[in-house]
Amino acid sequence: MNNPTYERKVDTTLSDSRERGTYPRVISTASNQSTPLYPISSSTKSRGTERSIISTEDHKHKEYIYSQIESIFWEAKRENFEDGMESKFSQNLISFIRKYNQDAIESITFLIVYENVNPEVAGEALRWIGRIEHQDSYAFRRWLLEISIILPSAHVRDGALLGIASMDDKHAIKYLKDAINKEKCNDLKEDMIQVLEQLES
Amino acid sequence: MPLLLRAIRKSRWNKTNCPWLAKDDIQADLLRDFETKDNTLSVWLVQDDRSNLNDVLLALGASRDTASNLDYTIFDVGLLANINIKLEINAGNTLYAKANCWHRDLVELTTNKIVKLAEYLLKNAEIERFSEKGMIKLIQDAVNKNQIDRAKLKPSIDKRLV
Repeated sequence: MNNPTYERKVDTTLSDSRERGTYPRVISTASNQSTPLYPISSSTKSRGTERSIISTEDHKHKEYIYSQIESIFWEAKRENFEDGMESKFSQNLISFIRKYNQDAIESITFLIVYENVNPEVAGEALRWIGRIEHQDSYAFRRWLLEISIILPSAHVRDGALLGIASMDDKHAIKYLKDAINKEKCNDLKEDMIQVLEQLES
Repeated sequence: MPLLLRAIRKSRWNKTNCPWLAKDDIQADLLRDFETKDNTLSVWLVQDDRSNLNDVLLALGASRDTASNLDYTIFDVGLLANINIKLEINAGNTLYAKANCWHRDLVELTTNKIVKLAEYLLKNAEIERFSEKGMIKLIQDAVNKNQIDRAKLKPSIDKRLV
């Protein structure tokens, strides 16, 4: 497995990309590299995607992946999720991540972080992102959970928390502690403390 | 007085998801946890001393597709009389035979009764979460004691056991 370092990749056109079906163009900004936003693996670096502007071919490929995952999330709005039960959405999500690996997580990140999806569906996705067995995407999935635990939606924070609990990885402790300090919802804060105790035990 | 347990999804009950919600109102998405079939709703009887609570949680958790946390609400069975909801004894159909006798159905439900039940539970009932790790331990213990047939567990749960 690659050991990703954290560098910043910023979507400078995001405000124009919120409409369904438009993939946000990813542009890296060297001046902002001190703030970690997205994990870059050594394999990604070797493909040269850290260059100033990604190639048209790469962009088309990512646009295709983005449209795929967007459809998966869109259709899931009709489903009623239950703890521990698979759904058409969870099955599609797992297949998607296994197929597209870190590109899949990148697309899911845009959907969730920039709140382009239904919050309950986003929360459900994060539960499964912590649960699936797929070593190649492990660090990326963990990273997504760690940043999602402080996002505005309580649905999303709860999903991220459950994903972190499933992964049971001590790496998340510092992010969880930070989230506990920021959490305004008492119920969710108590659940976070319970997961922190689990990770520290 | 005995208690009743209903599996829910805790995040739907969180009012902070709906900052637009009036103080005494309830969010409509919460009703997704009251999805009826033939106008009935599945619940589980829990002794007032909660001595069978873990048995009920095990019955629910072991019968799922994957090891997971389990969110639930627990409330006094006496509430049903106030809302005129009937309770019927119908044995459960889980992998944990011992617990199946504690399954009940709320029957002849109407939309009015469900909304009243949801309102009451949101204001008064306990909303709890049993952790995924705790669930794996419960299932493992039950398998070790031959209380659950390991061969009948879903593969994704079986993989998590020793």
